[in-house]
Amino acid sequence: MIKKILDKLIELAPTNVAHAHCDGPCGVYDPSSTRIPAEAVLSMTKKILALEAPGGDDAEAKAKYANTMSRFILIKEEQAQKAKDEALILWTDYFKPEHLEKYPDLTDIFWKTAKLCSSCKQEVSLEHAEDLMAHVKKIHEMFWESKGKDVPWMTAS
Amino acid sequence: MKEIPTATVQDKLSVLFGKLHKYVVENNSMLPTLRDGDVVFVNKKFGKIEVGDIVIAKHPLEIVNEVIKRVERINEHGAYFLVGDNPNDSEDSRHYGAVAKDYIRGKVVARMS
Repeated sequence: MIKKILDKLIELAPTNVAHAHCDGPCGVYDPSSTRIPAEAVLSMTKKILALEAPGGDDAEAKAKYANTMSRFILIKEEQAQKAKDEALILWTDYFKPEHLEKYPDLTDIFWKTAKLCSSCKQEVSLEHAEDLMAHVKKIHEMFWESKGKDVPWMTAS
Repeated sequence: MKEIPTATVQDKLSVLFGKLHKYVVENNSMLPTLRDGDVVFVNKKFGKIEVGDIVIAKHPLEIVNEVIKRVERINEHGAYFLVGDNPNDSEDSRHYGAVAKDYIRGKVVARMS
């Protein structure tokens, strides 16, 4: 009886939470989450470079051009940031010290990927956008090899 | 591996009188020792911490969270390398490094059941 009362009182006592943190709440990672926005950056860079400014004094054509160009730039910047965020999640949450031993250039690849995302956000550079995709491909290869799976590299476009 | 003793009547009274603190475990990084929802009692006025002890520590990268882990080793600087008992599914010192003594909030001394 006393034991039951005591246990009930314990139940009512203030409780703190001790997190037995898991390695990511779901443990689901996939480098395609980086590849898709990186591909969008490359696509938008190509579209920006290909978009021709209207000549003459056609105000409507100029407005349409400005609108289209603004949208291309907006999407490029958003997707570059997204690619950076997703790459950093893989770098900091999925990859572990033991992976560094197996892939000594892992840190360098992710660091350069993040830098390239920033460059692609700021500039209109086909060279950097293609280099970004090349780095994302390296991440893809390291990731799936570390999982022991043979997943071929493919792009949506 | 050190086991956590089941709480005695004295431990329970200590919780009610504020000498020990009650913590509920959230998540699974301490399996098989502790499951999600298990209740443990923590002594915040702990003495020496030894390898094998289970401790509550401030998460070094998150402002409010406290984590529960086992002390795997104590390094040459006196910092504690904390690892979950379920190392395949645990975020711990292997990710954020060893933690200084200031981060240790208490030592787990008993479990509710």
